[in-house]
Amino acid sequence: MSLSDRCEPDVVPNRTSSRDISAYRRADNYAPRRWGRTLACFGAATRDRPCYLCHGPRSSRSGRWRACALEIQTSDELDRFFSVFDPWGYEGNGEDDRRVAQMLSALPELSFDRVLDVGCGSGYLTVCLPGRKVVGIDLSPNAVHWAVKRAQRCGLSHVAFEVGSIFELSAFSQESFDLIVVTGVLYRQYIGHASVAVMDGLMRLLKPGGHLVHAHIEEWFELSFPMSRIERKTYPYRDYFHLVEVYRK
Amino acid sequence: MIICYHKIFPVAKTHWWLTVDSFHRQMTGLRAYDVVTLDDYDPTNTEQVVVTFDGVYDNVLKHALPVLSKFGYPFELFVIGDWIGRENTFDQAVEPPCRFASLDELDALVAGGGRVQWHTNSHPRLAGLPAMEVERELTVPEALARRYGPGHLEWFAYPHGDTREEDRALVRLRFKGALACDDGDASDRHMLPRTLVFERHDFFRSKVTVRVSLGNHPWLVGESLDSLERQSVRPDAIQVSADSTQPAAVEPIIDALKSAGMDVTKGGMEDGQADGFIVRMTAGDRLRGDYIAECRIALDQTPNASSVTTDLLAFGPGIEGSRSPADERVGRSRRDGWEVYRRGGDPYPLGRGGMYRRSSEGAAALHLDQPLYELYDYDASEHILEGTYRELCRREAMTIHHRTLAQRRSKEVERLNAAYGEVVAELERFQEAHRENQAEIVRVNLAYGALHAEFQRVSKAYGLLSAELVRVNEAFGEQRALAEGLRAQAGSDGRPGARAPSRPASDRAD
Repeated sequence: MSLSDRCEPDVVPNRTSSRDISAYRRADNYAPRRWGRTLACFGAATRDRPCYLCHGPRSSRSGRWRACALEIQTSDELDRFFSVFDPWGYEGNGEDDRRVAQMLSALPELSFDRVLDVGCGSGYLTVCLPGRKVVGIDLSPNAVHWAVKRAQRCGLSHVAFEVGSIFELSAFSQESFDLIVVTGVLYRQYIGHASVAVMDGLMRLLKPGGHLVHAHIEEWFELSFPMSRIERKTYPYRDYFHLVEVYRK
Repeated sequence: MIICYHKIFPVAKTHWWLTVDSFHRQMTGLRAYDVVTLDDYDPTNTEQVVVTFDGVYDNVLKHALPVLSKFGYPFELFVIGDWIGRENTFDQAVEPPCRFASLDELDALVAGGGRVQWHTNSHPRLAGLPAMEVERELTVPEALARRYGPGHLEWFAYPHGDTREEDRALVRLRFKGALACDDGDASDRHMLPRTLVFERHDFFRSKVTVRVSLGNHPWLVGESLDSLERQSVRPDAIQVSADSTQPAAVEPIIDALKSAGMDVTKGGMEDGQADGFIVRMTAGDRLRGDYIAECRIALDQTPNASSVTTDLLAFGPGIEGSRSPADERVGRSRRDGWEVYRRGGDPYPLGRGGMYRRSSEGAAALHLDQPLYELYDYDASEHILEGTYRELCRREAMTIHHRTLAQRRSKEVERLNAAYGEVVAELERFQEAHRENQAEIVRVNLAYGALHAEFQRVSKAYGLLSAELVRVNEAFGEQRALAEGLRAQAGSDGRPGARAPSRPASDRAD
């Protein structure tokens, strides 16, 4: 599967032309917030010191409860977001074509049997991944709906999609994948402060000797997998730098 | 120690919520303890810990259970009977919405090593309730007791930590034991103290300082510091030492680090001020994400260990020249074309990572760090090794030095120090006694002097008196002789003396 083979579904609401940057602008608004942009915190902030979790100032305690503005994004919120096919403006965007190319060029030169794409969205990257059997999961049913349509349109029978949370990967049997790909998921906005548990959950699904590859905006990415890292590279992506790392279990 | 949690979630919304990362960090710290069930708990044993959850919300299943299962800890779930499976509508004025675990979710928790215990029906303040109500609150519903069977619902946790004497009596009748809050009493099985654990606590015993030497790759320090930032358990302190062979090249880096708030020291790799364990790395090294956590676990679990050594991954442009046949190939970086090898096995040809305890002898440090010096700073084959970067990683084949010679020597020194301390204390006691004796002697001397003076005075007075007595006696003898002379005179001329004094009457009669 090469880049040029990537297909789009028949029904694409709010289709934007590749030159229309409005989707890009909109997408930027929805890009993961920098951890810490918050108005008020009910949690650990004191009068003298901001919250050490969200860095927000102390909220007044009068009235109803107000969140430490670090709510992780819920499935409903994501689902509303994915009411359109391409909310982040990937389609026809050269930046994202490069992203896929960079990801594919970082993968070890091996033949993979079972591959998992965690947080696949509408399957933009998933359909390009090598592997005899590729599974994409996403929290949003809408996203999975679009992804299934994309795979059908491309005539791919080896790619399947499921709705699932990164916190509940136990639905898959242990050590069942040769390759796990994670792109733009391990941000505080989605996983909060559950880094180690999420990494453990992902690593549980890797076969011994299996590979995990992730691509994230370097500035927002704060994790380090406790596995052997065999590749680390960065490349410009939109207004940021993307970090790609390859780990081996 | 019995520790108490409420809600575990990726974000901590109030202080009753703990982030999953903090929970994981705390559970990691407990690896050095013995995590037991309440039935096995001995309050006098400081090595034992019981993990308890109050209320039992659904997020315990989703976020705490995977962590607990990873470590294989047993745990106790204190449920509030009336609220099982419902939302917390009773305290939403102060707490965000959160659902209690349903019966099915409790089943899953039990299957994962939990035991269901009792935390009343409705979580009231027992202190304000009549006895009838208290009894109702303490009574476990029949259906629930049947569902979980023996081993469950045998322990009680007082809501709000209210432990009135009369309630305790009722609790004693129904439960094996009960848990209070901080004000419990370790000697009373029905009022055991419990510690509320919050976001920032941890249970590690060892302190860890990382010293990053800029070495021969100062420009790589960003990556090594980045790997420190991304540790699952962060070190207590990070120090950067600027001992590069090219001071001019290092200055701007030092300035940048200082302005970023780092503790930067110029000079060699001396230990400086640091307590606990020290990790030494150079700018060419990175730490694997769990490095500090895993090393701390190993050290906490082995109190006698003075150091821990770890394996490493070696990679970089010079790797082919420096690798040994024992190295295991892990993979190949497609971008740079570098092979990545894991160095394992013993002995090592070169290089090794690890932590060591800072000791006055420094022997452990020398043993561990010599290869580092060889590898990065002083080795003649630098042109080969210069480009070799390392990732220090902890894997199963880790060596822990039990009671090395240095450690034993250290113990010996400690013993001698203690003995010396005793001798010094004894000497001080003796000197104190001596000072007291001296004072006593002075006092006695003074008293003696006073007595002596008195004696002299008395002696002198006695002498005077004696002389007076002699004089008086002499005078008396003279008088007597005179009197006898007079009497003899009177006897010869037959006329009594007109001036014969004090003659007895009988004498006068004749």
